[in-house]
Amino acid sequence: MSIQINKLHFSLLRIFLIIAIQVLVIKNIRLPWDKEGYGLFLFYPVAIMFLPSQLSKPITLIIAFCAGITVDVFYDTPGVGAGALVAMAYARPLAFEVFEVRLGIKLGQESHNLNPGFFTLLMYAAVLLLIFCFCYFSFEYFTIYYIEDIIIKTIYSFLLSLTIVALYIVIFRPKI
Amino acid sequence: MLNVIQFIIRFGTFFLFLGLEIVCIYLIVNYNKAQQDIFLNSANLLSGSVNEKFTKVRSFMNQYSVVDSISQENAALYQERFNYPFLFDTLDNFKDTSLVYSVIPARVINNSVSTQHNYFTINKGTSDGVQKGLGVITKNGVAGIVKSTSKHFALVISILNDDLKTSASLTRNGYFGSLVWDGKDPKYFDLQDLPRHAETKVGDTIQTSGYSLIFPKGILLGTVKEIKQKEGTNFYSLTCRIWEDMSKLDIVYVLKNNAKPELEQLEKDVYTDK
Repeated sequence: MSIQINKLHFSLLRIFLIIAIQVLVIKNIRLPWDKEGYGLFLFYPVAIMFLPSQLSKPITLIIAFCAGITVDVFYDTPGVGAGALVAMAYARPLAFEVFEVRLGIKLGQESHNLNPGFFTLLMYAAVLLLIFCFCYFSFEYFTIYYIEDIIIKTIYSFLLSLTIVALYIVIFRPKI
Repeated sequence: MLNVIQFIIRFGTFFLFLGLEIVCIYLIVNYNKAQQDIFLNSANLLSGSVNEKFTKVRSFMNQYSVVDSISQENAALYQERFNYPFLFDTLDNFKDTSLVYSVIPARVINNSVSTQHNYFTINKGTSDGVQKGLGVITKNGVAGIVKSTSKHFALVISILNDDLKTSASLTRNGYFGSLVWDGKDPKYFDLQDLPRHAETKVGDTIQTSGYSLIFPKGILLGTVKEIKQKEGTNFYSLTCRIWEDMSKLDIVYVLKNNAKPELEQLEKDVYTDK
């Protein structure tokens, strides 16, 4: 129990730091060729992706909502990031199921494969990041009329964000 | 109750997800100008479309009440029109009778046109003031005369009945005769017994003569199609095409002549004296 609480404390601290990096550092990154602002570096979904697997689904959803709202306050997009992050958190168990064997993790249980490998983690993160980006821009445009723009922005931002997520995985080797 | 609790526990995560997404959408719509505009526009389109369909359904459901309402208005207008000449009656015959004609709207609920003696049934009876012998008209002319009544219904002799004769006149000069159906084509009638000196030509209109206690003068009926001379007589007859299509009767108006009992009594006295 105390281990779980410690893990939760650590996860919350990690979320706080990731959000701080997102809103203080990454937010200010501007690509010189992207004057229209098509691509966004969306790094903070990793905070939810790599939450402990033992954490219950409702708590994961609530944490995702709070984290999303916090980022939205700094981005001045109330509800957009939170909605996308909650959707991604809801899809997380599905990603777990898909990568269950490779990750060596079963949702709600203690992980027994301590080193799933960079590419496995990246694949797992990529699936969730793609869901997040699509939801994020769907909420931002808020209409199916601009579906082409939504898809272009989703792909562009997904690729940009994935590079930072990959760096994060390489540097920190997160455990789920 | 237990089932409800079990259901909530089972799908609790889904409901929480749904609730959080609703909160997010609420925030998006209320605190983001662009999304708010899109939402309002989409909501207007959706509500407009739904309202349009709902209105169509509602108007379909209300069509009978609308038709009834219109027929009431028409009846009031007919009543005004038929009573109009009496306003200028210099003999003061109808001084005490403000309404000589009352008009009662009704719907045809049964109709026959295929025999020599046709009848139709209307949805108004004695409880609505309909009595035996009253005239029935439509917007295109005369339809028949009430033969018998029950409390809520009345049986009407159709003009497509060779027993029925209606007094009709030429609009251009007022010469009158009897309009009868020959039992063949429901569109064509004969205007019989017109005096030879009555000038007429094809295309003239015919109307009710007003020489009966049933129909007031001036209800247009149709046009002259053919002039037939009767050999050896001082009369001729006209073949007339009537405007009313008796095979699709719907709304009709029953004419009640409030002066009829008095006039009938008078005529009865005259014939009794003879």
